[in-house]
Amino acid sequence: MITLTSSDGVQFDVREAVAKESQIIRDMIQDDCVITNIPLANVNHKILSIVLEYCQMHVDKTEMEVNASKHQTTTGEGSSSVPVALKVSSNKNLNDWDKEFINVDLDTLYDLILAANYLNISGLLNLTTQAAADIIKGKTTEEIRATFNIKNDFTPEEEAAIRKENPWAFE
Amino acid sequence: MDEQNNAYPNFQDYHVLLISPAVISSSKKAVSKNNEEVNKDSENGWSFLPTDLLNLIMTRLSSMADFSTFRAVCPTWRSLASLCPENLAYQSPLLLLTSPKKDIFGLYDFTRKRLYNMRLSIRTQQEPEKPYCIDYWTCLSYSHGFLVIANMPGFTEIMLYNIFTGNRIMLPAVKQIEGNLQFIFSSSPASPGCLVVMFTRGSCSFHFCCIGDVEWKCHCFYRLQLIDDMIFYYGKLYLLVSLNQFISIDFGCCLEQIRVEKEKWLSRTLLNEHSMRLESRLAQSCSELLLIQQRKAYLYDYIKLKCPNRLISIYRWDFSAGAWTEVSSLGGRALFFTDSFTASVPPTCFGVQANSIYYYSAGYYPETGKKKPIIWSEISLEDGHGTIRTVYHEPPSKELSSAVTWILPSMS
Repeated sequence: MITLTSSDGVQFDVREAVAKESQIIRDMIQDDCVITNIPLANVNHKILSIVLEYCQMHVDKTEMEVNASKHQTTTGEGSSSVPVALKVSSNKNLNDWDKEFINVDLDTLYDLILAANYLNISGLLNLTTQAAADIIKGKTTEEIRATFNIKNDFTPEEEAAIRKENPWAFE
Repeated sequence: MDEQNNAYPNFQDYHVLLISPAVISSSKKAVSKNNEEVNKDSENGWSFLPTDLLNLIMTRLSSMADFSTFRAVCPTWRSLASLCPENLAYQSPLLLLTSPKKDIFGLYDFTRKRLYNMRLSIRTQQEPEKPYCIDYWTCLSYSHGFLVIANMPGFTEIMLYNIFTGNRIMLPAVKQIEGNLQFIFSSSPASPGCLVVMFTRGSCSFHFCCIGDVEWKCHCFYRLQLIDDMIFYYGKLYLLVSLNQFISIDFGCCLEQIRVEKEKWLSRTLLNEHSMRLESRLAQSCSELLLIQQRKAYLYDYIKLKCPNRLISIYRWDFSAGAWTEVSSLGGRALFFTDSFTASVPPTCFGVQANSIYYYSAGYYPETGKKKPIIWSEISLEDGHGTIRTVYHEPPSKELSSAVTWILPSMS
């Protein structure tokens, strides 16, 4: 077990495998194998609990698959403890789970992107940046500014130049 | 393949999930906060995400319209999403559609079935003092982000119009039009010293000039070789003339005038007995100079009987041996061509497969002369001998019925 401490002092006890989903923690553990308490200065407890939920789920799914394939090769029988159907659908399930998981408000998504980057969890970083891109897709500039709360600080001249540049995107 | 899917999941179902009313209403609330708070928020908000993270989001926008919208949100996002080939490499190819009567162009994103209208307001915007007395413009070609457009009727003025930046460059006027004019450029027309070559397939001469020249110069082949295709490869001009003879041409300067300095015959050998029945194209893929030979469309049935597996052959030019060598792939790239355009791109953009050729030709039914719907072929070389998948598309609108060229944003 490893204890992760959030920036606001909340401690999370997690299995080593779960913590190791983060590349940065994996490196720390490799460098110093007696490490048991890791303070994470850039992630608060709210975000850390969401990140750990993601890691937990992905570790569980991977372990389940490994077990299933081991079982099949060693026993060679159909009486596997993990049903084959479950194994086949687990990838699909995980994608569905990811979709549901990332259905969060924009502030949380923003913090998750930063946390996934800081902890270097590539799967979560892909998932969160894709979610942000999906929110942008199909929207007008004004809608994006309203959604992400971004101020339009272009000068009127710049604004005119932008409109001239893409005559086809603004129709 | 799985990895690719994970990186770009089907965004359409995903989209519905994400834009739940809750998200939208919470963001509206955020906007209506008092000014001070909005300012405070935006200082560590989305426009100030670290550049590498914003970049990750941007590279997942795979349509030109979303990319352009992203650029127009705020100065930070704009400076990040510059119009460089690296950024545009993720944008899917578009087909340029035209209307036979009006100066309207449509850009059709065939992977998403989305049509973007584009109107060239050439007379009013930049030079109101110099109106062009034209009825309408027609598009001849596309290269490096520039459309080559000519005014109709009469075809006397030719202009390059950059569809991403709005940049315009005039080319010398053309006195006489013969056949389907094609244009190739030694580098981007916006870069200094760019050489332009104008030619027609099947003609024994070509015209050339530098950007900024006032007239075209002509080069004739006195032995009346007919031009099959031409390409600029690392700034040097290569020509394929009658019966697959291969020529290189050096340009030089004389009294500040550009001229043909040296004509060099590289290969005079016939490639094979079927050469007469082949359409030959030159293309560049990575650092290779390629020759693509395709059975002429109307001979498909005949050829299928004789050599069913070989509808397309690809050769690379071996500079040290001075000969063409057959190759079986495009080195992982995708090749796009039309009657007036050839380009290869890495398969990074949405809907494009590696080692595939995307071929569009103006479609007519030979029996009736009636126009076909928009049609192109995807020829995959992955299995070693070119499986052809023909893709038909009804025109997305009645007005825009004929496709002119591929627009590859990454080629700008």
